[in-house]
Amino acid sequence: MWKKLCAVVLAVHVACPVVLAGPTDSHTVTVTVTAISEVGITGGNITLTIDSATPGSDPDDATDATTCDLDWTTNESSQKITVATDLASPNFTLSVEAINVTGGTSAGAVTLSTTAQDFVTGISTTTGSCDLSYTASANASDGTGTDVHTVTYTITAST
Amino acid sequence: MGKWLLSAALALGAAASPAAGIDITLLGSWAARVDIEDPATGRWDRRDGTHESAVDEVVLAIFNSSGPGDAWRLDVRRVDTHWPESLTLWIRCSDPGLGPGSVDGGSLYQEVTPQDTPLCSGRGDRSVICIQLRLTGTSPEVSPSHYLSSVVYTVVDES
Repeated sequence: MWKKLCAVVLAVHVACPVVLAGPTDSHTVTVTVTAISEVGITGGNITLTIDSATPGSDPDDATDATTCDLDWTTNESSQKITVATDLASPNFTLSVEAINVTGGTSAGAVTLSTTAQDFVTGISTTTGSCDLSYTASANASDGTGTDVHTVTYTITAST
Repeated sequence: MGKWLLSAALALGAAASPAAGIDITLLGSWAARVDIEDPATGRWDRRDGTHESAVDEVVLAIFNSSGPGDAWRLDVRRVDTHWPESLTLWIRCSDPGLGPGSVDGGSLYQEVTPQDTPLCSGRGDRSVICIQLRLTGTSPEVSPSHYLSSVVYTVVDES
């Protein structure tokens, strides 16, 4: 009895095709592209030293427009890059300007504050870059000292 | 182990199916994500413009031929559901598989278009034919989305 039952079960299994087949088959290819916006600095830290003046005038500005570059990539529309410092009460003035810009429009020289300000605008589905031109200035009345800024660039949606 | 189970399953199915011409069946699909997560920062960074599947992302079996000398041709085409023009899908046979027959050609990447294009040719039954896919054309200009296409494989009896 047991042997006959096994034989019937096996025959049914073999008679049923294991796979559906024909001259054509297909599979899907799914590509997921997430929203990506990236900004990066190349060049490292900068030191600006104000150490000269014309008699009768405030000290000469110190500038650096060659050390650092900013690069960005976004696959989103209507983006911009803002800039801010973490130093709430600096002794001296520090400004930065995007020059030689590709993939966006410079917002001109920005006097750094802790409030994020537009730095490069008009960025949409593109890569881009610019040179970072820093200018440090001081008045004679500011005295001497050292400010240390951590400058942050952020790519974000334009409002 | 998985490949041997497929080979056994397809052999059993071939024996059970009625003899109605060369058939093809496949396992697998490909999901490509156009970014990677930096484990250190948790940020998602865009990968470069080329993405490649595993060498055995899709596995094919061609069976029900009339014998080791029965010639066939394998055509491939793309059927798009949502696919940007800038993305290009490439395909190749990364492994000719197993069986009494043979597989010729197809080892170099070729573009998968919406028109049937020969990928490779062969003779007789073959199983575990490995397919590898490649995606090019990803760039910031490709908007964030889920893109979907199907790759259709058609085996054409050339005897």
